[in-house]
Amino acid sequence: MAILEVNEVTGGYTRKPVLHGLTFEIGKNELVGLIGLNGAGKSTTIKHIIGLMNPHQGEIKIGGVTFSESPEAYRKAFSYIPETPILYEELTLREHLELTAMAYGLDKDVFEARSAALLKEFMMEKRLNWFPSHFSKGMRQKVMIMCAFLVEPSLYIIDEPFVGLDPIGIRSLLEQIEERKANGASVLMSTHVLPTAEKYCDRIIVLHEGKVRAQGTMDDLRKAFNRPKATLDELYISMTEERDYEQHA
Amino acid sequence: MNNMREIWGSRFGHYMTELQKYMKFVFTGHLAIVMLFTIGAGGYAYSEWLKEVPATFPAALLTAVIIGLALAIGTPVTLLKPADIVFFLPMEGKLKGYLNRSLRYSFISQLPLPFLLFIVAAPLLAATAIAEKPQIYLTAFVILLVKWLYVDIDYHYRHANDGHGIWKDRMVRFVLGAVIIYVTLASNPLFIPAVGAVIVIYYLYWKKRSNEKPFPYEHFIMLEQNRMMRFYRFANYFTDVPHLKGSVSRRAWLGFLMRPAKFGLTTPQRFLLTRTLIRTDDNFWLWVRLTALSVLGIALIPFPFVIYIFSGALAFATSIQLVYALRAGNDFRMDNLFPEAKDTRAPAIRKTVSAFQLVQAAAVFVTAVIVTGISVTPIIVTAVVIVVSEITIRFSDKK
Repeated sequence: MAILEVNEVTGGYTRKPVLHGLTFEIGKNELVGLIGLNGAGKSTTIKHIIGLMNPHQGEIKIGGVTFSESPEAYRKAFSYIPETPILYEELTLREHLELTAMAYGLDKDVFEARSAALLKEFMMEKRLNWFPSHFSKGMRQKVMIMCAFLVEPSLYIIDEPFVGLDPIGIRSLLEQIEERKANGASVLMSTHVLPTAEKYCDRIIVLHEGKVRAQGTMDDLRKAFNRPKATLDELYISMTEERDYEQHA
Repeated sequence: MNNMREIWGSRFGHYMTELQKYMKFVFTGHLAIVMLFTIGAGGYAYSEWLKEVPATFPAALLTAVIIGLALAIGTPVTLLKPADIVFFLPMEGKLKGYLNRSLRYSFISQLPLPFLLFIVAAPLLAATAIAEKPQIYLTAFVILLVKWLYVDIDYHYRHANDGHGIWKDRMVRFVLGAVIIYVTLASNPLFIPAVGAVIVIYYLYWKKRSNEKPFPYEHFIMLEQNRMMRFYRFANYFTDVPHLKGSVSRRAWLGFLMRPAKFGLTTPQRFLLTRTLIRTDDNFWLWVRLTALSVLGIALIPFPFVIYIFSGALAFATSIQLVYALRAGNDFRMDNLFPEAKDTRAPAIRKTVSAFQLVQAAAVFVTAVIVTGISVTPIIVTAVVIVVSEITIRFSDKK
């Protein structure tokens, strides 16, 4: 059964839609990469999925329910890591974790065990009582990642996670993702770091001008672009050139 | 735009629009009413006190000290921007035209404070028979001259020392300013030129020293940014100022008010909001200020009826501003995504502000008992605070 179903979704900020009849699915245990040029509609897609925007048409289901059917169950099924870390300046790192645990109804024991492991993994144990104003961009990102992973939902939605993280942070993140996948969770990850996407993602969705330009495994994509040996980087560039060609034609 | 005078002109235009934009909110805000009450009550108490002030009261000394302080404080308004450190660098020679205008404006904008204080002090000086009319005019003229020199001294001192140790300069100027005001009031006109000469020598010394140094862009830019931040923070009490990053303090001494996390099926909003209220400087000091004002009012206002109105108005101002501050903004917060069947934030805001207003009510009650003893006044004023707060919180709830 698919964890996330995006069905013929058309939507945008104004009446003029940014997304046009978007359709894709994410199955259990899948890590799916969402890639596309700036302005292709990645962030808008994510905003629709997390329920911050309502589609004009079509529907989105997480764990089999739409947002309007049950906001609580819908939200409980995923956690989200935004592109820019959004922290509460007035809460310490520990309080961010506690707040998340309270919101998602974790027990104290579960909270203690999970947070201890995450703090160790991301090397933030010594910063429990720090406020965000003292964190670097990468540390702020780590706080967001830890909060999202603390919840252990069935779906992780991660927007451009690698910017600002140091190499060890990136490795930890990828290890965590692999581990969660092994335990049955799914991940939707938007990124511009294509070699990483190519290496780690089970499937890739290429967005272009608010439509799904291509989706599937690397082999599927190579076939779709008719470039049998190309890397994801090369496929991406060729898509750009295609667009230039369209613009000049 | 190479002409530095033009640059000052256009920046000054922008600055004035910005000031007007926010001052509009300041003068129509809740605090304006409170200020009106305070000034009214203060003025009344002052005039009553003037009727019976003893002739031996050290009015001249007090006036000299207060005016001296008002003369010594104030920072230059340079309207410099961070990018100037790059773009103005090749034009340092032409900076003078820009800075002269900036100092002229600084002088004009700093003049009202010592003058207003002097106007307030004038009836006291008359009541204690210290100063006659000509002397009042002479003092006003001295204030004008001293402030004019002080704006320049402040600038040259900062220039010469990269802004370090400005408090030393302020101490010196405070003492000189207080002395010259005192000798003017105490009818020692001969001493005026003597102290005046010292001030002029002090001015010339720092002017010479500053000429030996390159212009310290970093200091003046930082000064300007801090000044604007203070203004925005002030304006933020009355309206939402975009891009204003409210500063946050841990306030560990209030830790006992911030209950620890409760796990299991709880709503985290109170956990979050209590911390937001206590740790965000703007919100917290707003509450402290308005509560202190309420307490002061009870201590100083002699009529119970006026106390009820005063404390009620403050309870209204506090509750409504806290509710708005906590609700603030359409920015995305992570709690927007928390799995909850219904909105738990609005009721949590109500409860949090209610709890804070109960503390205000308690402060009011204790003060009223101390001032009036056990009577109906403490009970009524406390009831007024609680009832007004609750009504305000409930009615401001609707978006």
